[in-house]
Amino acid sequence: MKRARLAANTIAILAAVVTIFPIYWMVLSALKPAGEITSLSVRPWTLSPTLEHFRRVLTGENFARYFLNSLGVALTVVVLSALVAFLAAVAVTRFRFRFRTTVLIMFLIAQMVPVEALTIPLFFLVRDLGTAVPAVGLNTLGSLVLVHLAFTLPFAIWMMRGFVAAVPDALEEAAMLDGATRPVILWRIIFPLVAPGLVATSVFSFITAWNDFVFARTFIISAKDNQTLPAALLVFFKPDENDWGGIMAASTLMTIPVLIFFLVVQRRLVAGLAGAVKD
Amino acid sequence: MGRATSDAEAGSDPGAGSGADAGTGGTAGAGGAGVGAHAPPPAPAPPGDAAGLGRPRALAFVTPALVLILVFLVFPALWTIYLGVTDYRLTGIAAVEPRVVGLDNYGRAVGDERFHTSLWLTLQFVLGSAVIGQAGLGFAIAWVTRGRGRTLRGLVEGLVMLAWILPGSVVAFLWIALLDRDGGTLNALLDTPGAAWLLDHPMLSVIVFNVWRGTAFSMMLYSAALQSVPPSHLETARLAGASTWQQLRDVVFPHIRGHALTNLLLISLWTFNDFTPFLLTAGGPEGRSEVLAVYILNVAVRGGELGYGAAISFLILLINLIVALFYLRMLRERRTAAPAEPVAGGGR
Repeated sequence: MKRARLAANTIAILAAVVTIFPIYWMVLSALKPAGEITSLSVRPWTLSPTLEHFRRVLTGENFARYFLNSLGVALTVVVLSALVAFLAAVAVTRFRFRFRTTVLIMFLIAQMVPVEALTIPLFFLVRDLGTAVPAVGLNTLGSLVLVHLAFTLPFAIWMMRGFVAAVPDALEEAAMLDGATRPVILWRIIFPLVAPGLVATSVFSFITAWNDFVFARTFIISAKDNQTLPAALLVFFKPDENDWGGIMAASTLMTIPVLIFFLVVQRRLVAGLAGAVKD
Repeated sequence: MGRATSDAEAGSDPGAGSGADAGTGGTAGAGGAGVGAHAPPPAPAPPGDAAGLGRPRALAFVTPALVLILVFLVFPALWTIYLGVTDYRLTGIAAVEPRVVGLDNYGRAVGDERFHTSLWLTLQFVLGSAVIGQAGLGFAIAWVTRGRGRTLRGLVEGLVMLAWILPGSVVAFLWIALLDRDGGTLNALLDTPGAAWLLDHPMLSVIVFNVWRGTAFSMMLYSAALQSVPPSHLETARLAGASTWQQLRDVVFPHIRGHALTNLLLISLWTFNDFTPFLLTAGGPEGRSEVLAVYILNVAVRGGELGYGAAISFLILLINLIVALFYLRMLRERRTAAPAEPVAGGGR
């Protein structure tokens, strides 16, 4: 029994170490002085950590601007997606309307559409949309918000559905009898109860929007000021010599918001996921 | 699929509308509310309206989501189907005046050696990295860490999840740096200077990469699922002298089957459509790691053959649908086979 326990702990720790290694390496490379990164004798530590790469990244190449762009897009998507998905989930779980099954199946199928397949039609769509509503045309952050929102919704609604269904009707009944109005029931009773689900879905929305590379590259063509981070990272890739220090420093910076967002919600995420697939 | 889905709904619906209309007296459009709750589940059921929303309000709630999904997902998807039967190209004459060529693109795909290779590689990718790698490893970690101290579990969970949430472009950089031929970290660690992992073993690199990246999700799901297995059942099995394998087969798996299937469905589809391998190897060398998602990108964007790329995309969508149907069927079989079995519901 004791041996089994030891083995189990070893496996768990080993998995953790293997996972963390590349990430540790990222931070380490970002802190190493330029000469040390390329030297062939790789050392898993550095004696003279420097913030030189971070300084270069933060001052040059408009990094701060791209960072704020990415953050703005991701946060807007999170808020809108949570709101829209919540309302839709309430409608499909609490109300039977004629095409409900059709709508649900559509949400499910929509998740299977390969993103790269839609890039081309979406490019034309956004271009044409821009002539009507300039705020969401090509080269705007608005276009990114809209498309990410649409892509995060199916999953968010599927997840929220389980949570809304789990709220006992008796609770709503009781509130009704106490004279609560419908908006009060919706926002003060159901909404807080499904909060763990919303948290879990927001993580997904945030990660999708924040990590996106394809749409940012497709829609933001000429407006350099409206670029987002993943695309901006490319400037550090040079044909001959990659600026690894810069890449790693920029990557580290790009990881921080995801990390913060994730740490805030980690505990709830597991519970949220468990609830979502609960049947 | 329709049947499977409506079954799934029926499962979650019986409760909905159970008398919640007590206070909904004046709700417009709530006619028949409550009737649906007591009628047997078969569709089409009379409208039930538990929350007293009223039809107009329910429609208003679902409309924003529907419009967004229709405009930005369904419409482009239909457009893709149309593009798939044309010879549309990014440049040249066919860019200005695309011709409808019928099923030529599909015919071409069927005879295309590169497409066959890509399909086969995708199968390896999904089976190797998702089904065996992520699900297997994820379960193993969840199993050995179950019931451990909170600290250890939290730590392992947190670290493994880190790999999952990092931006794709960032992890691709990390792995390129790790596997690089000159000065790559792995070569330095293994003392194998000059070993070009991404060139000599492209598919293996991509599979290991994806296992590293995605195991967290499975692990998390299985951890949650394992909490739903009653400890007393395991205890009984152990006292009866069941080996670990017997415990897993007879006690654990029946309990977590729903979770396991959902997990397999999601990670299979995600892996199938994942084109992070593009950032690692761009499909090379010589197409030896060109999974379907990368193949499309190479054909449509780099090669400019939008029509052909769209046709392949549609084929992918069909394959995804078949995979999903297969899983849904298995889920349904569970329900009909063992109706009395407690539903595997994790949660805390």
